[in-house]
Amino acid sequence: MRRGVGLLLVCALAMGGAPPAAGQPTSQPSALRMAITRDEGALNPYTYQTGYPGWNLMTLIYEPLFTPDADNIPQPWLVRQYTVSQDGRTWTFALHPNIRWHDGRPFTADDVRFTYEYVRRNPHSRWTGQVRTIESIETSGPTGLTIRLNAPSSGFAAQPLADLPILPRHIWENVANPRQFNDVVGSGPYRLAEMRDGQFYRLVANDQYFAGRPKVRELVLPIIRDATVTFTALRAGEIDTTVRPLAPEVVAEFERAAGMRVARGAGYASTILQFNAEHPVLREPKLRVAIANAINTRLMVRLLLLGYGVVGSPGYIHPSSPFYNPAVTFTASKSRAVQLLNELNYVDRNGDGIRDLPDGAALRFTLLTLAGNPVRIRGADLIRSWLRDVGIDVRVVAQEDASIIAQVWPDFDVCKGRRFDMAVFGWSAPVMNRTTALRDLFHSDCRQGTINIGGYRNPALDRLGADLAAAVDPARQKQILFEMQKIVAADLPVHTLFYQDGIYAYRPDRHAAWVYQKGQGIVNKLSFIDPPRR
Amino acid sequence: MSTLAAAAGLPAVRRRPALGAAGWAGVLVLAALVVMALFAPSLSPHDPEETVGDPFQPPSRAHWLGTNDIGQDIASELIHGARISLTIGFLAAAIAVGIGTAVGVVAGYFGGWTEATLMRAVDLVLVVPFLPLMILLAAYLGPSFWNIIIVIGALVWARPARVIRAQVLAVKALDYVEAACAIGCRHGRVIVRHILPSVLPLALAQFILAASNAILIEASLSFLGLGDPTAKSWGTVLYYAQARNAFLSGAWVWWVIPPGVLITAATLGFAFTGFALEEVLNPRMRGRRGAG
Repeated sequence: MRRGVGLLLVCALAMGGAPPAAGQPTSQPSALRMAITRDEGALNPYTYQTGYPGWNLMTLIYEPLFTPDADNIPQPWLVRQYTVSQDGRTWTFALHPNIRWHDGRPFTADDVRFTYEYVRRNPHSRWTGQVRTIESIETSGPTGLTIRLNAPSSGFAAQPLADLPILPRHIWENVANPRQFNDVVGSGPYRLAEMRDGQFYRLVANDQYFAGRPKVRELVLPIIRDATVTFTALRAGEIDTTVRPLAPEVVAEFERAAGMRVARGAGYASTILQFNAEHPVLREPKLRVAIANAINTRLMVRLLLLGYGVVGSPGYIHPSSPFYNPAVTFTASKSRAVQLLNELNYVDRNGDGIRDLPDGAALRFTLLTLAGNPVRIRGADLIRSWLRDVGIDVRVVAQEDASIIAQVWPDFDVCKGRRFDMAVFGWSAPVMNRTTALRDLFHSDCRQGTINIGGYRNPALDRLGADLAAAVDPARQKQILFEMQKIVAADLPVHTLFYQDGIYAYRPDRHAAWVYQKGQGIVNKLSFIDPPRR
Repeated sequence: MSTLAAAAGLPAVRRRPALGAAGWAGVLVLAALVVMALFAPSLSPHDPEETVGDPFQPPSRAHWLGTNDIGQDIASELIHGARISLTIGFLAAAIAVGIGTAVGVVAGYFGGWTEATLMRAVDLVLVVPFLPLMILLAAYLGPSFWNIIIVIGALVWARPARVIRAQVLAVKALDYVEAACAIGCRHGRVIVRHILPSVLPLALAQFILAASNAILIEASLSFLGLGDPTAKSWGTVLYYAQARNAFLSGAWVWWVIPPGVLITAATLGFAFTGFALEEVLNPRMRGRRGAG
């Protein structure tokens, strides 16, 4: 129903051109039109709606202290220099001296201190947890700042430093109910000039920006809910680009189209076969390895993504990531799958073509998959037919998002357990970017393995996870992550199927200086402004 | 229609008119589709579950209607799809007509407050906006083969119930029924021996019409992604075509039009047959047409 209604609205939008005639924004001809998919609230840190592209657009207006570079390594942005103490617990920053809020007031270290304390007092699903490691914050003068942590934290630069946008204290200090507060005065390269609910946003370059003038004068963001309408508008030249990635089946066509260019790069969102490691049968790693051996991930990438993707790495980490361990590999082999199943003594005892457990029960599982996602449904169907070939019976059940979550990840809280066999699941790109991703994914303590939805348990991995969380030195982090990938690849608590490439189409005559941020795509601050000189 | 002319030419109302040209056309189309469903494995060039080529191929000698998003033969999908689409149509219609007949007979036979209650329920189902209710129900129950059948069955029983009740009212007033009552036959016996046989032909016509409706509903639900996405019905083929951008890439010519034509054919086939049967079997309609 949602889609039906969306389609109607979108038709209305498309007929009026984009943005709609009724609410025509007063845009200059130089405006860059980038279609977004839904309303994003007031685009401030407490009202933006989506992790992508909402956060990316919001951070054009409100800025965190650091910003991830094209390789996703957090780099100082509002910060001119910083030092970390030997014990990893004290971070000292010097801010750029000439930053101003959009209303002209100076941006100071006091605003930073205020923000970090504000998100602690006013719960926010994304940031309140990130600032929990902070013991104290002190300012010295308008640009000096010292943050002390209660323990060294490997992920601190990524989250919160490069994630939590700074709020202006003079506007927010008396705001008691931030979710109802729609102010949009930030410090970023763009300020919000106009917005109309459900129709469009118009952002205008901030000429006083401390790092120089943004490359695009004006950014118009029409909301187009339907993918087909979005891409038809792009091809017709009614919009210049879109935050939507291009579907594999239309890439070739957009590459051929006149006046259109396609940017393609690594995508960090994963598609995985998630096992319930607490399942009485699937808890056996050898069975999971046998299942993985029956699945032809190469063919999946060719069929489902038409080659626009990367075959999953058994250690979960994407081969383009700086933390990828190239020594960890996996090559599927059907005969190996058969051999492992035989070794486990799972053989067909009653001649129905399905292997049976020693107690006589058939080797039969339910595979959950998301009903709204054709790639995942098709993927699940391929897995079903390949597992059938080695004598494992799989029933594919496609369900809505909410009912999948209720079984796989009740209340988004791993501590609440799980009831499923296997699921075709996936994690979004930010998970790959977490320094502690492998601890979060596989630590057996549900407060540390916050996304260990399979309930996987391995003391060796737990120890490494704890070491990782406290490691501040990147070389040490890499060393630990290499070890963790080996364990994951041997046990396969999840079987990583593939990572779909990010593919984006744009009109280069309108704006060509797009920066592809690894795993994330072209909608990022670096596409609109160069990093500040230190 | 020839039946009309024939009926108008002959004043005798008692004579049953023959199935008209449209009716025969409907029966032929239906027969063709049923044959297609029955002999799907030998008719289809490939196994529809098997990846037999590259994905997104345009029509060729090997694949008359090209391949879908995972390289399955679309023509074979459609031939096998007849099985699921027709099965769902028949089963849902059977449920709908089953409920409708039970409600119609009970309401018509017993009358009084039983009738009032049941017929208000019928009115309720008839006036509730159909499409939103159907989508809501399907989304609530979740996508599966049987849920789709239940949703359709639960929503299209009202019309058969009305038609059958009217017929029961007429039959009930006939002498032999009154006689049966007078000699003290139990209600159950009267209903089974006298009422049901006289409404069954009507129920058959209603069944065919409900099946036509059910196939259309199944296709719409599946297209919206509310059907069972792993069952190969015509609606599911359309769902994947839309989800994998057939409208953007030009593949709609061989990926959207053929299932559309099949759905239309099945719906029309059922509808023509049903209307023609209704005309033949419904004594009220026969009378009206005869007089006009």
